[in-house]
Amino acid sequence: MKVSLNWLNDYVDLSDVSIDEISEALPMLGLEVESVQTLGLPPLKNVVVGQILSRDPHPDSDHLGVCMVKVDKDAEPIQIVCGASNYKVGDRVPVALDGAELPTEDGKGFKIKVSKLRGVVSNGMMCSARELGLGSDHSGLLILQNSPEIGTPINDVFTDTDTVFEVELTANRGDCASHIGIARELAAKFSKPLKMPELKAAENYSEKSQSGLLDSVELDTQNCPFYLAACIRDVKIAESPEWMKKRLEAVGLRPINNVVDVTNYVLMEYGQPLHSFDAAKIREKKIRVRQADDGEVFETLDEKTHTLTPLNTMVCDGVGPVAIAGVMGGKNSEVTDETTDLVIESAYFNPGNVRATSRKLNINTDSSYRFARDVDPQGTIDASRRAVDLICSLAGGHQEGATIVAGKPPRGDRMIEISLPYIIDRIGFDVLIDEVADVFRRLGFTVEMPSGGTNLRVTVPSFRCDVDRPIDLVEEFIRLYGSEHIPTQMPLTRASLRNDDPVFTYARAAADYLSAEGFNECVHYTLRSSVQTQKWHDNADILKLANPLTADQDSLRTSLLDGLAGAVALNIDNANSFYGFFENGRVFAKVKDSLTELVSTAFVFAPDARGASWTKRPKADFFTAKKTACDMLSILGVDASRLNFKSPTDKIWQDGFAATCGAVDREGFKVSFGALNLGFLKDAGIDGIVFAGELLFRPEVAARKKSAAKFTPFSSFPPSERDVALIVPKSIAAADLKHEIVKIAKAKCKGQFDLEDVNIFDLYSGKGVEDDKKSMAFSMRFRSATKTLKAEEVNKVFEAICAELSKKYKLRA
Amino acid sequence: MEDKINEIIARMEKLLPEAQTAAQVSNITASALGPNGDLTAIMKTIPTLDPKQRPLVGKLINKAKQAIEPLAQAAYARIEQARKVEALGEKPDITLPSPEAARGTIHPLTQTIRRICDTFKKAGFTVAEATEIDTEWHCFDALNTPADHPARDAQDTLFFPPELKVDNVSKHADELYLLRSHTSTVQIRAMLKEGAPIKIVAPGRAFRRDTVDATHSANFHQLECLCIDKDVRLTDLKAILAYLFKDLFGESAKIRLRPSFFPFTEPSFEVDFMTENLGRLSNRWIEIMGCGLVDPNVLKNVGLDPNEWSGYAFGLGVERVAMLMHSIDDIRHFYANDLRFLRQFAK
Repeated sequence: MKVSLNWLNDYVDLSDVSIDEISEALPMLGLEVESVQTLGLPPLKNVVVGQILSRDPHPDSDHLGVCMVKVDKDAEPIQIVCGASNYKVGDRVPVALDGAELPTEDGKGFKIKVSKLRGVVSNGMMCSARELGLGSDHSGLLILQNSPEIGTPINDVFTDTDTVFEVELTANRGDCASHIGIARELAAKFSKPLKMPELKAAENYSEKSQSGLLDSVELDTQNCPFYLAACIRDVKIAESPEWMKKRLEAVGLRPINNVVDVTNYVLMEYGQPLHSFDAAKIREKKIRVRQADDGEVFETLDEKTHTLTPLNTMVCDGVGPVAIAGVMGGKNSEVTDETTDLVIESAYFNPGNVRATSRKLNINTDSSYRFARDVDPQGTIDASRRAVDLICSLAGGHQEGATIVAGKPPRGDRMIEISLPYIIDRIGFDVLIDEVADVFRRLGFTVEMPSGGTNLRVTVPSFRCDVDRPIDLVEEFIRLYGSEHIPTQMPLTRASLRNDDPVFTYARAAADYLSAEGFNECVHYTLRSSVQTQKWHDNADILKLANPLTADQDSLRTSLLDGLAGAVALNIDNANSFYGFFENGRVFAKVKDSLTELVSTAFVFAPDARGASWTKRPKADFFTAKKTACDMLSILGVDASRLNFKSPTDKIWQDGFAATCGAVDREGFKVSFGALNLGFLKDAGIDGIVFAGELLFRPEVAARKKSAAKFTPFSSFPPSERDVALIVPKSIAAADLKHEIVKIAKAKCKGQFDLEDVNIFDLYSGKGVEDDKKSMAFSMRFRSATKTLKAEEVNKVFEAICAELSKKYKLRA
Repeated sequence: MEDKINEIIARMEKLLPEAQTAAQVSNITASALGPNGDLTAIMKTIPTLDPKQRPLVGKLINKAKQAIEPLAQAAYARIEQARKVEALGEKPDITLPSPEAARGTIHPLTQTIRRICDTFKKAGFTVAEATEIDTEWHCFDALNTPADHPARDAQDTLFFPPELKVDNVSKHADELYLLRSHTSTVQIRAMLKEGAPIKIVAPGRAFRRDTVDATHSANFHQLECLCIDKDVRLTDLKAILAYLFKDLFGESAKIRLRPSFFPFTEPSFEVDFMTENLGRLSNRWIEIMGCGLVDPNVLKNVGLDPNEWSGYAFGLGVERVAMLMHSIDDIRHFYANDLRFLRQFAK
């Protein structure tokens, strides 16, 4: 919203306040200043009207002249060296004296100092229009017309200087969407009186029409609680006077005609949007405000057609809509050059409804901006009178009958009781009750203070829609008093005996572990394309948003692997060599018809992306993925050694090269690892092999309490080891075989000593072993808690184990 | 006799240090001390000697043995050591790079979140989390945001279809699910669950229906701070903010509170901060976040009596802090994950 300084001065005298002071005061009042723009001649110090008394040639230059210039009626003329030639002796020109600062395009300014030009003293500079910042004319000195008085400050000659502040309002400050509103804030800030326009129009209101132009006003919707219609006859539509056009242009409005301009002027002045109807076009001489019918079609002033819904509130005549309430008028009732009679609407429309309509129809007007921020319901009355005054004075015409009034203002003045101790308790430092009362009074509130007490009764006028409670008054107080007065102290807080969220603690540990292992942490968007997501993940239909912005971000992610594959592709493309990537984050999955939010950690590594090295290392492979995944489980607090892995059914894994365990609706977690599906990788733009791992868990799993581990005593006697190799079909899983060996060995050891561990130490297929078989070697470690084992007793048990095994498997010699 | 023995010792002293293998050591030692060794031969002559001389020769022989045995031990040790050194292989060029995977990196957003959380930890705050999916009530109503507030519009906030069921995100009534538009939802969930007093920081993702550009992102990270206790005042809010920015940006950091408006705080402020060493942004006010005293309506909505409890809250944009701290000019770098970016923040 643009605000003109000249205009503000109508309501508050800011002549002794600098533009910088205003620009700094506004933001600290909560009114953000987006830009400050100077119109016309910028304010210039030490630039005055001078008269050229003589011109002599410069002794040392062909094009310079040495002039004597009178810049002060009561002082001797001064010598100025000048390069221009468009003037004659006797002309009056702007003269920048010593200490003046002229504007420059870079904003740094150009300081004028007494100096020598080719050896001749020059006590200032005579200026062109451009040098003053007044347009682009630099063809010569600016010759002043009408002989302004010598010594007059140049800003008194060019008086149309104005400064326009672009102010951005927060949603609660509808009262500031006007010059009077901003003036009121500045008046409060600088402790100055606020001068309101003098209103002449009669304060005459009636629910019944007293004019032949309009018979009735009917409010048929709760979105318009209050409506005023003033009837004006015999106006003559014409251009507005210069002063009004200049003001409207200064705040970015295009002048149209003396009636429309007045409504815009009052809007900018009071913040109350008005609408002028051509009375002749109001059919059946009726106004009725109602909700639109579904599918109703309406053409607005800008000649755009809108299809309406019952959400939209419409101002209608006896036949149909003539305006979208609070947003924009209709083409059908527009004021034109032929208009002679007017109905001026000043109403209060429900802020939320105007905002919704404006957004839905995508029409943003100065009117909807203000209604959406809540206008002053009482202000509708003053604004209506002001419009009648201005129209009658600018366009002729006269008001006919009383202003028709329908409904009641939805908000009036409110009385709030507040105590000084309450204010001090909220702000945390001492203030005097008189300081508090003074602030409220400056804001235009009425304050009653029983003498000697600490209570205040504050009456807040209707224009403040945002001040209803004692805490709101605290805000008003500190806003005006100044937050810089809040003393800065050391933080005083109680100790917190709460723990960090276990998910955060887990993620931190997982990130520290994975980064130490060589993985680089990534952060990817939560939203992905539903097409891609559904291609590689089951049950992904549930992940779609109701109102996505774009098709490539219309679905939640169900796995971090999609993003990580993208990181692999991007970094390979960019020739970055790397070990791998990981990400911590939230993902979403369908669990029994419901969406579930899960915590996930996933990692990927591409064995061929490491870059060449001067020496070879074994490539990371499936078992690297297994180790990393199991380590992540242990960080989460799950003992991976007890888990049984199986082949995953998820498409994202390469069939036969991956493993999984758990389910989020059963164990609360699921872990998978192995080689990523080659088709999935191809889709992601990756040609090589990528291994990965993914841990998914419900947030509460991280919070599972782990009891302190209890110590188990161990034997102080030496172990004894025996090895056995079995030749088995390739299809037999190592874990199954080991499980069987452990079972048999334990049975045979029973009652004698313990089987401490069984370890797979060799796996062989090839020469000496049939094609479909493999040899797997196990080493068993025995130990007794009570004695050193003798070879014979161990051998006896070992032979029994081998005998048992040989019943089922072929033992390798 | 004595000369003979000294000769043997001298031979051992010469040969043993020259031995190259354990077998050679063994052979050399045996040539003196073995069954056929010459020292053994001398020993065997003792019974034939004059009884007076016997102890003397015996002593000499013992002395010789004591001289030879350590020489043999030393030779064995020397050879063993040499074998191990050989196992070490060729001496490496210590300037060659390690072929092992280099340490990975922590993402700058994670680093920033950790840094801020650590700062708050010192002031007695702990980390809270909540789900990214939430409901209209938790995201808006509970935070005193009226039903017709623009932020609640489908143009700005991402919603889920009304029929969607979410397993582990509770509803207040029959409201819509959405992706939280701010982390202030964590305030609500934490206060509902844990009551007061409470002092939490809540880092997490937030979502807006924004077109992605250099400063906007479909999701971004916020860090929410909430403190509810008896008698929490504006002075406490200013104190924690002044501390926060000094801790993050150095002792020269200053803040100012500029009045503003948020539905969930009253009074509300924008925080501007100013510091040295921020390049072209040094020594000027930079708008960084919103803050305020928690609105009494918010406390009522979570069942806390505003006459008993008060507090402050604010939400910090993590990307914004990271961008300022590291002079990053485009928010999209955080989500592209190019290693040339990620590795610049490796610590």
